[in-house]
Amino acid sequence: MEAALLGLVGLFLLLACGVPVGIAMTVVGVVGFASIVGVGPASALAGQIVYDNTTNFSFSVLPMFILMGTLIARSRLSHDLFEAAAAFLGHRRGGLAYATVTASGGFSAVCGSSAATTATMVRVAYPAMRERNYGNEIATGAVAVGGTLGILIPPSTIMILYGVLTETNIVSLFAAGFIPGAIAVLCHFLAIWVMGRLYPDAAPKAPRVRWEHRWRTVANVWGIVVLFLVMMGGIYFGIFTPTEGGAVGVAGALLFAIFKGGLTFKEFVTIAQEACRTTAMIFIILFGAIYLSAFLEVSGFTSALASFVVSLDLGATGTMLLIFAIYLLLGCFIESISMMFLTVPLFFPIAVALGFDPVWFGILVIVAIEISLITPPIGLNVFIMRGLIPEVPLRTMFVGVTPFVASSVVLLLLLTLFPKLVTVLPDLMR
Amino acid sequence: MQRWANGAARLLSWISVIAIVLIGAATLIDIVGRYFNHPLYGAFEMIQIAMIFLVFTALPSVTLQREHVTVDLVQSALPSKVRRVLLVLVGLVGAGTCVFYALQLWKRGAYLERTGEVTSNLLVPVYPFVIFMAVMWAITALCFVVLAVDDTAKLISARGEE
Repeated sequence: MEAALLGLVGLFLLLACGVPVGIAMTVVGVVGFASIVGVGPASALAGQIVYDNTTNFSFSVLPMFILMGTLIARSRLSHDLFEAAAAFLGHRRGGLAYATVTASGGFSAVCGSSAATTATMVRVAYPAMRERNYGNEIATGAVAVGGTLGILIPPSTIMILYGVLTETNIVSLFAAGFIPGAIAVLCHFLAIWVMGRLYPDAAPKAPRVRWEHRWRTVANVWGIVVLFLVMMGGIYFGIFTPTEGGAVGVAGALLFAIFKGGLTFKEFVTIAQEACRTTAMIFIILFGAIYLSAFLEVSGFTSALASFVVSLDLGATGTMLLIFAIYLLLGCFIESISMMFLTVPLFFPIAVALGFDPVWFGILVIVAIEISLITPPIGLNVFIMRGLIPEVPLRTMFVGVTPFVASSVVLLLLLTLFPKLVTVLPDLMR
Repeated sequence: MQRWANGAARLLSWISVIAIVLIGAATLIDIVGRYFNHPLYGAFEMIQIAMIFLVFTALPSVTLQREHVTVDLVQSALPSKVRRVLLVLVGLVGAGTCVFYALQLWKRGAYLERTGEVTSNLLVPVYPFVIFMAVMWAITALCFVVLAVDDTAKLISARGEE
């Protein structure tokens, strides 16, 4: 127990010094594990962790969905999606902000990463909103929160990691993300509506668009719809495994990138290299996280924490709220994938001990992580936007996301109080 | 030295591109083949092996481009001199960790060679892939050293300017 606490202190010290997350977790995991079981057995674990996880078939889905997301970002699909959403919603007050969230949601259905969704949508939606004199706050806020949908609406890299880590069915997780994703869009709509009321000048109306034009823009997005239906439909109905769905998605995305985006061979190589690097980066954190959780488990910390939380007797809702409070706090300092790897091995046993549905718990963890993507000081989505539109101050962006942090918390509470919203679709499939 | 390392890392990352294309292609051929009762024999294992190449040939590039995920808790508040010293130390910790992984995988590879373990369908020996991972960990350790040397050089030149 003391070893575990000492280890966690050491971990935060290493992280504070700027040691990469995966390396820091490995160092603490190896040293801590060795202090309990001896150097020999502790080191021998390394070979097993690295080989077993790299060749774990479930993880091969990861580079597929990452590559698909980057390829889709290269095609003009994001532009077409935004045009279509703007044609239907643009004439309302704050309509282009509604359109941004809607288009981000659509984009998320073929992209499993929040970073890619944010980076893609900011290029399309931000200039359009500035052109119509939208306030910087609402424009950047809508893009940042739209980006968070990337990991909630399937496919989602974070869901895959959660699924493999906790041995929860990935297909069930994908199915479970749908309704919460739709509710998230509605919650963010509400936030935009309120902001439009409070600051009408920051959210002007665009001219109404004729119906024939609307239908023409809808016709442009057929590609994304077909891709999504084939890929997700195939996965849901068991025609293919998630990895196969990913490969089908990559093939479709490649066609769109070539024919709609004019992708060249050289660009493809750059994009593929990027996808491989992202995959490698995730694996390093994965190795460290498994080492660390092996140590925390052997030291008795994991079970002690679980029995402590259960003994608090806060009831299901109370315990969940406590866990989420911890997530929101940690999210201020730790980036999403690392947070997933650090916390899930600790909190998942608690969720199991309290008899929670692993799928439901996973979706709520993802919503909590989403919030961390937009909260200061290190909201990743905000920093991605900052990189692409440096003329807007960081402060303005964080002010802009505030109403959406509120709407995300509303979403979290809704899903906590009404678990059926999450579990109804995966239960139907069983 | 850094330029030379970057060039080598770029060459290696070509292998990762081939691996990711292979995973996609093998999967698609397997799906199509299944409908004609000719699934791709050993597709499962090919993908597992390709994953080894995908992850480990990309690792040196991730390291050299400083793309490993870090947490910015206090660094930005530190004086720049302290920050630079920390960067050097971080590089050395990274190198040490990679050397540890390299040694352990080398040991495991040697063990698997003795036991003669092969994959279940294609009957390929497993140990060369484990040794390959060990070698890539060692190369990644070198990349961390390159970064540490580079950071030390910057530290010295920054001191010279003062």
